[in-house]
Amino acid sequence: MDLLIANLAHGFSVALSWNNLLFAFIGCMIGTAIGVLPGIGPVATISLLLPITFGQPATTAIIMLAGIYYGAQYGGSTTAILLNLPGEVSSVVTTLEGYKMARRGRAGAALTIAALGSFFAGSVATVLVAASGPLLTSIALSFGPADYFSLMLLGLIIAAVLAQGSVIKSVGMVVLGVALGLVGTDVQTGQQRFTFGIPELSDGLGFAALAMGMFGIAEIILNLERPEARSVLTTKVGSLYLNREEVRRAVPSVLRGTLVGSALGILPGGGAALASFGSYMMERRLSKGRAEFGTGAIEGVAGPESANNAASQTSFIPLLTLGIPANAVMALMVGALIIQGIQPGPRMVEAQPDLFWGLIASMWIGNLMLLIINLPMIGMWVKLLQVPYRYMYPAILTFCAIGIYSINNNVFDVYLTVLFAIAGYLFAKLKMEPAPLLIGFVLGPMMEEHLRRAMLLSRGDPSVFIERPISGTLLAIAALALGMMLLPNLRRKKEEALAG
Amino acid sequence: MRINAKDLFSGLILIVIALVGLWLNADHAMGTAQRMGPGYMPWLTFMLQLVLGAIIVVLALNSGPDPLERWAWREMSLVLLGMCVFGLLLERGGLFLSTTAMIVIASLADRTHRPLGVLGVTIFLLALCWWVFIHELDIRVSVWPQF
Amino acid sequence: MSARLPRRGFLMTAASMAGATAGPARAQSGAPPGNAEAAAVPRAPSPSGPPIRIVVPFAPGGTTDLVARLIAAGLQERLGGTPVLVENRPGAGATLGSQLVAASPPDGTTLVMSNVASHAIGPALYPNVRYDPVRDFTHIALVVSNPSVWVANPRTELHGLADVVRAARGGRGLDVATSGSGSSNHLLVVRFARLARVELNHVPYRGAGPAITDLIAGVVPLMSDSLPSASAHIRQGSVRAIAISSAERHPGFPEVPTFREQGFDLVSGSWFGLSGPAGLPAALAGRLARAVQETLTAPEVRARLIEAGGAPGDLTLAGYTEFVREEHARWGALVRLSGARVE
Repeated sequence: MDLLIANLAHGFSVALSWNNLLFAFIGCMIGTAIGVLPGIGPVATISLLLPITFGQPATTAIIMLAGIYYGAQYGGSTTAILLNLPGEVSSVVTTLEGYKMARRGRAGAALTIAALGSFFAGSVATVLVAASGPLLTSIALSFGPADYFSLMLLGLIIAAVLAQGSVIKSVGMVVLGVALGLVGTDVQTGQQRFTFGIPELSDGLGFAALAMGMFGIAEIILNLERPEARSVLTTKVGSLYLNREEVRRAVPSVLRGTLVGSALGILPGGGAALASFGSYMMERRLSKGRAEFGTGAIEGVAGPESANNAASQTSFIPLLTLGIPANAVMALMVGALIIQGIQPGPRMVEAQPDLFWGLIASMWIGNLMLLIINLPMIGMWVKLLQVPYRYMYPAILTFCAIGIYSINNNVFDVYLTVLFAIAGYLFAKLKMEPAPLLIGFVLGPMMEEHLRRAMLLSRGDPSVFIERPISGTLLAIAALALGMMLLPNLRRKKEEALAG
Repeated sequence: MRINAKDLFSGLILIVIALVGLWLNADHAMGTAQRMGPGYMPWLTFMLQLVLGAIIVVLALNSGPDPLERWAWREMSLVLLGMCVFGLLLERGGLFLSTTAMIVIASLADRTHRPLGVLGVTIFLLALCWWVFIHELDIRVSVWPQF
Repeated sequence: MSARLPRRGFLMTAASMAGATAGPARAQSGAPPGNAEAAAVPRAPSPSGPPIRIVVPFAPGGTTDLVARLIAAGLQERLGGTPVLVENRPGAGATLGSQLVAASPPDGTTLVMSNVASHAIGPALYPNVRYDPVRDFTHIALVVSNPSVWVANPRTELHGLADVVRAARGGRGLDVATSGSGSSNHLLVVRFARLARVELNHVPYRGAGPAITDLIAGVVPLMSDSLPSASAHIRQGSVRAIAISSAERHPGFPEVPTFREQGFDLVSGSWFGLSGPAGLPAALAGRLARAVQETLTAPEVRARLIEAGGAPGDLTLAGYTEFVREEHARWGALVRLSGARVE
């Protein structure tokens, strides 16, 4: 314990140097910016910034890149809450309750709890990284392909709970999302699937086009259609601060979210994406305000926001302890370190104490900076909502259109967004939830990869999914969750049938 | 009648997409359970989707009534037409022309708009977009028309 | 999700500012509503030309990716500060990214890390490759060549190729991971299995990173990898090197025996270089080739490449084109002979 404190003190002495503070700040600002701007993500930004970091000391470079990474998570939730525009995968969940809160005039509270929850979760996860990184890595390494497949399957079933309406319809939406994820080139054989010979589709459908179309643009059409609903948006702004009731309800959710996020973030490949979904489901089942879900429950913002920030910190653990990147952003970090002549891995703690402890300390400082940057801006963001909608929606449209175009410098993506907007509007009219679809779309390709690998390793024997303890447990939970969701439905149907 | 028209159509959409998917997937090798080909996962997915669609249709027959809602055709087509025109004009006409066209067309979707308001919004957004996307981010798109 | 990077020069501006270390003069939090985010991205001193994009047809973090980033930094320095970006376009044995570059205009702004998978093995292995590895490119320079190395999980009983043969004969065959179908490492697995008459179960991954993860975790006992991507893990002891595919032992890893020494006459290696679309102006190609050569001969780059287990290349332009032609013919024959397929 004393050693840990001494190490952390050393870390802070490194991270608090003027140069490192400055670059942590630049990283956080750039991260927030790309999180807010539609269509531009952290992977793209970091890979573009990588060559510049060569000129910097390794510690400074990594501190800045890490700042971009968690800054982007932060910024993504701002547009999700204010405009129903999820900038990152993890903020899809934030739109569910966050945007509803904004519509009820509690945008300020939603943004504040997102910032505070993220800060708390980030702080806890940082301590976790410092204290028990190696131990946690060994847990992460016990996950094989079959276990990942089952974890993702559980994630998809969780996604079905996200929806407000009928469970069977949301399961259908999840599957439709998986189907959309199939479009593109099969990684293992190079076969073009469902691309209709269009070269732009060989990389698959873009997440940004799908999310912008189904959420952001479809929402514009819906708002235009019901003038009475949007006036709520502009007249009821309410207090920026959390009231006592909201604090009381949010605290347990933040704690649970931190726990879920820290655990899932450690898993290489997709764990972090599942964190916010997992937390949302937990809140819907466990929190006191579960009855309010779907109408803007603060728990539904506090939990997932804490979870995704905790996960983005703990996803550094496999990188720092084993040199194994947990996701594409981490892979770029490995690249940055190796170019600096540093091999991330178990010996990094001893060989590069400045880097290791400096990075950990800077994670906490970065979170504090994000809080300081973001809290004063909340008032400003909320003011933005008071702009009359007839001026607001052309602005959203413009930013989306240019943002989408700029991802690939290709107008094809703009047309794709239009198509998805029609689909999103259709779904809204038919009470089909787009959130489960988006999650199926993200998890589907990973699931296919793990399924194929697991079956390859088991020589085509599917019993591996039940026999492996982790996979078996996850599948049991998945079956239980599905049963719990379907049962009340069936019972109600039966009662209705008897009564009618 | 207690037909839930919304669910009925949802189910039918899922079924149609699944059938088209299965038809397209006929071109892809299935492989074996050990070495799955590119057609294996799509087959699983679309079959599951087909079954779910069918269940939704069956349940819809007796869970209504929930009639279909009117579509805001005017709003939808104007907003989306605006985006399409933006796409068509962007590379030849440049950022300013395409953005202006999109804003003007999309503004028609809201009946409370006045010409002066549209003009103001357009000028403000053009300035903002120039500053954000050209001056700061340099997204490599021409500002003025190219001939 | 795979790294899907933008093609345009967005954030280049932000980027070069950090290079200039001028500080975030424009990074301010008090910007007006709606564009505070943009203020966070400070502006660059104007770059001296349109940015050059080097497409790496593999996932980030692998050997080709890392060296491409080294080369990109070197090129940027030697081309008067023109920004050089690396973009990852993985998939289908590196043929997707190469396809993209083959179809780009030959203006020198889009280049590709051509490699043994995309330009020698892939065209013979994948039915859907739509480019000719020689005719559809202007080959600029060979960057690195390196042998393959077989690495085992240290908790297994695999200490040499004899152990591999024994384990593979015991019933269900032996799982061998690679960074992906169509790599020279994959072909080495197929060729070994044929030569030793054993069953090796090839498990392809999406890049070397995830494969090494599963090797260390013990999901797969053995991996056929490129030396540079495995070298750090070998030095760390997290994996055990049991055979190297060069003709002679590698000076950096003298304790690792070759395939030949262990009784299997297999010599294999991979390489990658820089290429552009066909029809690149000769002067431009020459300038790029010189810049690559200068980068490779810089002492610190050279030392780092050799330490990682790669040999800096010395072929440029016509020499590299001839090399690609020969490799394409040689691997094409090997693919047909070995009966390798992608399922």
